[in-house]
Amino acid sequence: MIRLTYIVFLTTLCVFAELTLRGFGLFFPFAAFFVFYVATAFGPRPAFAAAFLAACGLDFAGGCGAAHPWSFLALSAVIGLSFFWLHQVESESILLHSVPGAAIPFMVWLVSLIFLAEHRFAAFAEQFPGVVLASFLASILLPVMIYALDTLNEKLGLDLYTDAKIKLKLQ
Amino acid sequence: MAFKKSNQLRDQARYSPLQLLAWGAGLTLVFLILFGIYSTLRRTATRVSADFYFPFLKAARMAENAVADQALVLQDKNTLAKALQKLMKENAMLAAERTVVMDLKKENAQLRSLIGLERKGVFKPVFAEVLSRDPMTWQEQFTIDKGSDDGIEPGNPVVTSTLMGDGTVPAVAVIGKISSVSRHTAHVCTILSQDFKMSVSLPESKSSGILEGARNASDMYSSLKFLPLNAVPSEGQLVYTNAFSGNSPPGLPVGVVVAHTGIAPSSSRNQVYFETDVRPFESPAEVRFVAVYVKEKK
Repeated sequence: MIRLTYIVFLTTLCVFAELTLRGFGLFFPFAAFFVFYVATAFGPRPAFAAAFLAACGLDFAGGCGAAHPWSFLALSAVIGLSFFWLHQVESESILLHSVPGAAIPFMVWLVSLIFLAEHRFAAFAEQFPGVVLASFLASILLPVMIYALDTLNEKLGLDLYTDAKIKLKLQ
Repeated sequence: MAFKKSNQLRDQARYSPLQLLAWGAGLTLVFLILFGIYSTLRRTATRVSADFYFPFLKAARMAENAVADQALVLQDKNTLAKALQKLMKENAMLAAERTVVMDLKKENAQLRSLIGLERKGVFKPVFAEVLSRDPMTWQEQFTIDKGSDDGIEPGNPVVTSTLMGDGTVPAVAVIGKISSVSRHTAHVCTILSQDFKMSVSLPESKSSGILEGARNASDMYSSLKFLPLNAVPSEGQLVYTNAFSGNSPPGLPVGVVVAHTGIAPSSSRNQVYFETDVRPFESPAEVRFVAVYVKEKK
């Protein structure tokens, strides 16, 4: 129950933060970072639930007025990235998470560009510099976010991101 | 002595009221003439003395400026650099303040223009503010903070304030239409969105057509299609809404016919109808306050 409340609350918070920044014309996928974290720490089912909740918020409540929660596809790709990172990358360093941190904004942006943008080439040219900046900031933010959420999870008695690899080895 | 004084008083009392009135008028006239002479003299004296003293005053000011300039030159580089830095900082602050004031001025003009909106037949304006946007569809879509609770329905036209004519006449122009509504919010597809379609009229050429969203948002033009072959629109012609769809009041300005491609403003499509480009009066990217014309329910 605590885990469910935790996921719903933090997903809503991330969606709100992302939508607020979008209102100022800034692209920064907070929800995707949280989904990446949940996918590694809690597994695929909670991650897909968080992704669906976030996609509904981003696509229906946001200014893009999509007919379907297309962002779910982008967030599913992020879940895929989290599994790749968990299973294929040997390093356990949090600092190395700058790499998926930098990749996530591009991944989410490209998928959103395909499904949400009406004038894709114009949107691509306009937004590319902003996404590069978001990618740079995300490479710093993701390790910080993992550390912060792990600290919170420890206090709440929930699974930790940093334990995910150990658990995988034990299985 | 007392007797003499009482005689004088008796003499004065002998003046008739007409004489007293004449005395009064005469004194007033004298006073006015004196005042006129004084004013003329004063003005002349002011002008003469000002011009007379000008070279001396100017010389003193020039000397003061020369001394100040020399003193500035004599100051060391560090002091000058510090002074320059301080001035640059002040300049930047003033520029920022000016930008804020200009924004507020524009916002104020927009709100005043929207508040002045009146009912158009069965349509009444509902005022709203842009609630959220998405960078992915910044030009094409946005969400407003009013919904079905305020009577908004899909298809209602959305207008915003703009400046028409030579950029000085405040007016409202169509910026988009409602594509979907929830109880408290409504989604607007702008005039540049591919989802936008609206029946419009060109009063000058007495023709009507369908306005569709842009092929390319960066061009900032919408396409006006299905115009009859015998009504070729000229560049600069105004485009208005019509009442054909029943969703919008007629006569709302939508845009102006343009020939941005460098060729003729209109081109025939299969020789069946004409097609032309229309530039909206306001860029949807800059819109913050809007009004939605909703049909009043009986």
